[in-house]
Amino acid sequence: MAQIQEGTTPLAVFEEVVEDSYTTFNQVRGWKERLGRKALGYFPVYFPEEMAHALNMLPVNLLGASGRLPLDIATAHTQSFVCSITKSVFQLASQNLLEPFEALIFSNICDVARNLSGIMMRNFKERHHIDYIHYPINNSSENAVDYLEAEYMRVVKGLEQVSGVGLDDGRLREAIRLFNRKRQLLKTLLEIRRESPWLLPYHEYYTAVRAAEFMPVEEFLKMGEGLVQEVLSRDLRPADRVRVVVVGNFCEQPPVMFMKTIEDAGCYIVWDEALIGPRWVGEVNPDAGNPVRALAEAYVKNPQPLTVRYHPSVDKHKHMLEVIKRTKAEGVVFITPKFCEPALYDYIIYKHSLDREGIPYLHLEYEESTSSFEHVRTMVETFAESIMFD
Amino acid sequence: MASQEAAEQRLTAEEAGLDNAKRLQGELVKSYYKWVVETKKRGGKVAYCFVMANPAELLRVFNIAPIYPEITSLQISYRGGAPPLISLSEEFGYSTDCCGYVKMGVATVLNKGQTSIGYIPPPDMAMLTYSGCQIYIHWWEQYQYLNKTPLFTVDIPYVRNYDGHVARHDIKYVAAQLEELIPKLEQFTGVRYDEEKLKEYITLSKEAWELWKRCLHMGRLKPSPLDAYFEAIYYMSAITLIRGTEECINFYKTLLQELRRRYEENIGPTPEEKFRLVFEGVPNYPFFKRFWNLFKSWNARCVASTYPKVAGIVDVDAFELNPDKPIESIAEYMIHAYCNWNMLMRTDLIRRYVKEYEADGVVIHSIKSCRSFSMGHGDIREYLIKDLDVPALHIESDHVDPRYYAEAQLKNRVDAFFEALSIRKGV
Repeated sequence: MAQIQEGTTPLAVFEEVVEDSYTTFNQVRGWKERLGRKALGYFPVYFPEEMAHALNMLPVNLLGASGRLPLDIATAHTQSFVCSITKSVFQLASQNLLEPFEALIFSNICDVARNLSGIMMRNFKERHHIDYIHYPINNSSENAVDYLEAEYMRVVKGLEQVSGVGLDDGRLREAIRLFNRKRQLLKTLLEIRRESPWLLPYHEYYTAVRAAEFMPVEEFLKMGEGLVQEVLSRDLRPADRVRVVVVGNFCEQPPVMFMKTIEDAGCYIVWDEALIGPRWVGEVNPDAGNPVRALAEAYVKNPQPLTVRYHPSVDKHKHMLEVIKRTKAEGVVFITPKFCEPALYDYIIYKHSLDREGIPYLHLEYEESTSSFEHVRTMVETFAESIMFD
Repeated sequence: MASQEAAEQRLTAEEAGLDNAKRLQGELVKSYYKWVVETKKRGGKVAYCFVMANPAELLRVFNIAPIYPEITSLQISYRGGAPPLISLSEEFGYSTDCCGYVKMGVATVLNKGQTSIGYIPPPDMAMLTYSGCQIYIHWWEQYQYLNKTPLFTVDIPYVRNYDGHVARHDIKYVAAQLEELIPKLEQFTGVRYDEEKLKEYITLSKEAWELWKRCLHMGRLKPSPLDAYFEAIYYMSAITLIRGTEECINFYKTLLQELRRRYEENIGPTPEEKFRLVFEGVPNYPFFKRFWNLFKSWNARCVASTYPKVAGIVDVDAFELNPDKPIESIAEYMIHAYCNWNMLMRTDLIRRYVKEYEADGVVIHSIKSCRSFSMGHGDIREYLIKDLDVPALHIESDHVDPRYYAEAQLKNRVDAFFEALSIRKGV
């Protein structure tokens, strides 16, 4: 199953990978066996995947079961007012569906994810190596890089025990090069959405970037580069749609149909935050004297805002207006997972800059299990028409 | 109910005149707000601070008066003033799913500091001590964008080694940031850093923490002379608002004396002690007394709890201020905020309380606003009931938003819990 068949199109492969990524993880099992690697699952939004790769582990972004599991066990262990992805990941573990993952990593993206790490630890410590990275938020401190380098080394020490492989600078440099290529490829796909969204419908784009979070990097690069070539050769014409930026889907993922409905209701999504973590950190210097430090620097010094990372010198107002300008967007659609406080606070910050500039926006909520999209269609159609006929 | 009737003949601490510390606490709060306004008038600065992990002693060195919007919000809420502030913020764009404290805090700034409990000076700066609550970051960031409030940041790593061990690089990182903060505060306030003053404030704080610890340990006595949750919430004000002062020390001396007298005279917050509880979670402030009555009416006393230690888990010696190592000991203090402990440590603390304070059961109160406190509460209940065979009740409402308080439903759950507990205890 994990072996890519000759003649299979990249999209067909990606679709198969994504379908398997919800609850079954048979592809992950296949890759582990074929490549002789262990698997590391990480809770969104960011993890230095190259570190896992250099330790001969397959990094996989745990994105939840996307509505394919009842959340009864998880609900008993959490609290009423928490997002679905948290419950979904706990439910996957409680049904032992995360069995292929030897290691699970969490981080300080929000209070819910943070506490999830502890209850996962209490309930499943016999099955998985569980750790937690505290990413710095005082990123203008001259001590932040030192701290994060030490933190990465602490985490590496635990993972070395799991993988049975020690961290080697040469292998890490090689991994950084590979993941720089992956980030570049993800950006290229995003640029296609920005420049010619009619060539690559959003659901195809999303399938590719979601598959990238599960596949071994080498195979994704091969398939993804093939997809880019195929997409650019398509002979399609633009439709009369409104160009929108979508903000808020950086962690819990909306159903693909939710996003498809936004496009079908008269929009082109020219930029969004879906699975932003893996591309967000940008180019990492593979030739730095200390590659672990290079990863820490890439995180700390990145000037791009990320809802789950505070950086004292980031200006979110400016960022939003720049994204709109760069993508030639005519409006913004905020989509917020139910109970996701970080997204709700950024919504307020971004909303005020849009109000000042008179840029139209719409706010929608979703859960990973959302299954009715009629209200989304009605709201987005009205929004798109109000822009078109303004 | 016969025992309840008999119990009514005994005096409670309030009826016996052994409830003076609460009155004194009210006066302290008033004089604290007066001090903040005076500091500002005399040219000092006002800093918005968080209850968890703030370096209050260091700020005092720079003549900075800390304001705690969490406390301001709970006080407004306690007096029934939350709804108009929450509505104002929701009209401004905040969701019903945002933290009520944030909404009330933003509304207070939008109202230019005019509140139902008096004038709260707007912040000259905001001290972002990120420990135990991610929403702290988002909250202060709102002010940065709303009012261009300058933010001073100290990032405090989560205690993520599940055995409680704190990595050396964590302490070094927090201490280094405090060192970086000093010249920034010198520049911002125009006040020179004086380490001797810092040591003096730390010495005063240390004594107050020690006294507060002794008060909290009184919950081990049988019967407990205090309710270590509902009453401790009043008593914790002093250590939060005015630590580093003689007044704070005097308050806890008075409280300790009062609790000793209560014990000697076999008087407590309820006519008798029928049930000993451990309480986890943030209270409901809009209906605080009614919420307390749900437990009081069963003659239940909380003998230990977690929430009154959000300003410092002093009762289990999680930290110790040291005037000889002022910066490093503040760093350690900041790391050991209650919600900065991982869930395993929090769960284990509750287990210890049940054992050491000989409790009959645990009440877990989740609130909609605070995922930091509440996410994983279900797992604590599962652990207590299934692994330890300790009766546990998990209920939900909110700390400031009255819309989420359903008293009839809560009462049904609480009564059923005590009925089951009565059968188990044979009382």
